[in-house]
Amino acid sequence: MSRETEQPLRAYYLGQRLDETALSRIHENALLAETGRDRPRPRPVRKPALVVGLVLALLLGAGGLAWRVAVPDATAHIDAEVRTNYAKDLEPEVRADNFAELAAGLPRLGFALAPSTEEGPLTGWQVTGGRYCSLAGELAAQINLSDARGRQSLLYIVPLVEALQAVEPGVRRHAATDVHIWRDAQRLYVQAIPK
Amino acid sequence: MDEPAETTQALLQAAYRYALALTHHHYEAEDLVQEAWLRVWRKYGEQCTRPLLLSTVRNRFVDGLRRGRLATFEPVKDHDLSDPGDQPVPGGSADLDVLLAYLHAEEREALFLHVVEGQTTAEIAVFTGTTRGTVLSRLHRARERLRRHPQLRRELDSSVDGETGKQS
Repeated sequence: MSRETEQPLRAYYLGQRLDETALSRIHENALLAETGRDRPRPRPVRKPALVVGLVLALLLGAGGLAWRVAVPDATAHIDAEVRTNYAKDLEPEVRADNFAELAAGLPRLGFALAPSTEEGPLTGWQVTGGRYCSLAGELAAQINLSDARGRQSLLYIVPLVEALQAVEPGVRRHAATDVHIWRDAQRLYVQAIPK
Repeated sequence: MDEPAETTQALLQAAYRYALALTHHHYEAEDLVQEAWLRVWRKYGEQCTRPLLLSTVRNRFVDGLRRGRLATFEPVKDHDLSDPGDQPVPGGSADLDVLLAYLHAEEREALFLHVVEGQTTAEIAVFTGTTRGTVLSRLHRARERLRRHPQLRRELDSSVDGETGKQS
């Protein structure tokens, strides 16, 4: 087969690209996942983002990266990742109306899947399903929720590993969604709620 | 095959295009790249090469299919398509994006590796763990389906088919 005859195909695929935001996010997730792994630490480090920043500074100085990557702010990173995942609107892998059924349908999670004991964020939301996903490189549960008004929300639950210790609880408000972040029982909960 | 050192950005873009050929779904492709990049970055860091990354993307794709995490769409059978015969698709050029959706993942993959990555059918066979005959069959089926694209039809019909029995 002459490759020259496949020009439209080549042009089609070469025209497909990840945008800069996705590129940065993918690489930052890898860097964030790398912090908190088994690595010798001669001095205690309070914020994984600081470690990542130092690594990036060294790499940029050595010309190791082709483009400049901003030092990832862990909270902003999680916020952006959750909103991106929310926009993807992927189908759940498991249909369930309670956490026990959900946990049974997602056996690879490696952590106990349970609703938060904190009142407030999940009040009025009903579980409808879930799927595996990742958050900052860690295997997480993405849980579909709906309320009495028919609004759809996504809740992410992930173990509170070292790389996520710097994520600050609170509410981050955006034009179309609010992102609620809180911690409970060594897990990080992140819920994207449409306005 | 030896590859010159590529930037991280170039590697990720190449991985994305390949993942898109496999899934034909933007977000699934992005997820595949993320999963693959996490694995290779942890293990190889900046020593990661394009063949290694593409191989990891493929492994994650196959793994996702096995676990039922990735939807696969059975291509519409040929007889289900309104067949214009030798006539161009009414209304003008058929959308290549739509036509590619009619292919099996392995057909898109073979086309992509051959057309975009420039691999020979023998190299594709090794990469995908199959035989050269199977790769040739996949390429042939893919081309037949894509003949609905008028521009491709003209080019495919005018090309000398040198694949059968010969290594390209």
